[in-house]
Amino acid sequence: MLPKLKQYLTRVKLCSKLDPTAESEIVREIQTHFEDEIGELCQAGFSTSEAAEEATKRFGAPEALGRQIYEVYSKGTWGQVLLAAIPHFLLAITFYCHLWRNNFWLLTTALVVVAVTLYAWRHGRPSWFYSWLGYSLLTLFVIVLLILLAIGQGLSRFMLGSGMQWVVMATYVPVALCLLGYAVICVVRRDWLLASFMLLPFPAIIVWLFALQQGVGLAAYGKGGLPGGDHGVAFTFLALGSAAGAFIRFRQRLLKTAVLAIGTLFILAMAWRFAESNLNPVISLFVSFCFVIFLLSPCLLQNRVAHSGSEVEARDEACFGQSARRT
Amino acid sequence: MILSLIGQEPIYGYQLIKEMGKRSGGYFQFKEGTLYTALHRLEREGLIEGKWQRLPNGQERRYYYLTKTGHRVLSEKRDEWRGFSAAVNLVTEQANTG
Repeated sequence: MLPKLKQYLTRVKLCSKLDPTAESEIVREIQTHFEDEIGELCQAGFSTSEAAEEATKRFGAPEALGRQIYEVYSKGTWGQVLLAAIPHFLLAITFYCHLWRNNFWLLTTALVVVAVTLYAWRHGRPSWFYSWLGYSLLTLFVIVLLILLAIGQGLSRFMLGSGMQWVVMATYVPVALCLLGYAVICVVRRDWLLASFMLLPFPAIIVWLFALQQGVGLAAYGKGGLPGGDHGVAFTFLALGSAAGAFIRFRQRLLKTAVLAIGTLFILAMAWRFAESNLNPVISLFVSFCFVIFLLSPCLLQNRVAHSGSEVEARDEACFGQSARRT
Repeated sequence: MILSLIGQEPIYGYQLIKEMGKRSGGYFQFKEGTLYTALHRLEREGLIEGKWQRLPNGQERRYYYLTKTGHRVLSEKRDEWRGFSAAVNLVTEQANTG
């Protein structure tokens, strides 16, 4: 592969932000086009490097092409919209039907979420997969927390004092943040917007936990201390599902970003309202804005991660090697 | 135009660009990348279908075929174009004779 072509295709890939299957198909097709074009130009008297230069010029700016390809593939079908909304709707059902106290239901839901995530991971990682990945990460966080709490409880009973719970939390927070950071970086390599999409349920869940603690208290809520509280949480997840569906359906990146930002503000306002939090409205609004910034923060990582070089080069090598073997 | 060319025989991207240039006497010249975007858009809409095929020299190319929906849409677009061009001709011919 000529360096000029390799560079061109890398730039197309960076801007098209496709799933690995579609990306390799398109890159392979463009590569075969270049083979034909360069062959013809060489027959017309061009040197190989001149032919590569001319072929890429005729093809147009790689960034513009990448963006056009992105717009072709970015609009999901109605089936994909439904698939992206399902994990949110599952949580909505869980709360609407008061099933969150039912361990069997919770375990089954968690298993389904993880199974679908793994299936989609192995089948090209389509956009709707990131909706499920967010909930799989939440499941993982809950499992890690439960394990650490169990360890903490055991240690405090047999070895140390009751302050062990604080040690557990001090261990849990950095572990959870590292896991989340790692997942975000992996997703940002493809597209920061998908990383934000993956994080969509996090602000709502954190605000619900915080607002309930501020209001009736989590322990009181657990005993049914907030009438209609479950329905409030269910509506939040229903709204999250709708936002996820709109995200998949919209073609333009700007609209997708707007759905995440405005949707989150609206959903958080719902959560503050339903949870009957006694927090100052100005502070609630400020916290909500902070969460929107957190949600969109993966865009700051985009350039650092995507242009880190080695990853892209490795992907190129793998892709071109595969293509060369096929032809 | 793309649907029409694909409708005549299965064709791959590079071939399609050459054919388009040849048939239009070089009139239709565009950035080649744009064609692939158009092809993939048509494929997503279910009007065409791409399949990798091996050429006699062992190389593989992605050939595009018209689907059933594609045939129907092509027929509709042809009728639409015939009506439009006939109307334009009537107007311009009247203008010339007038």
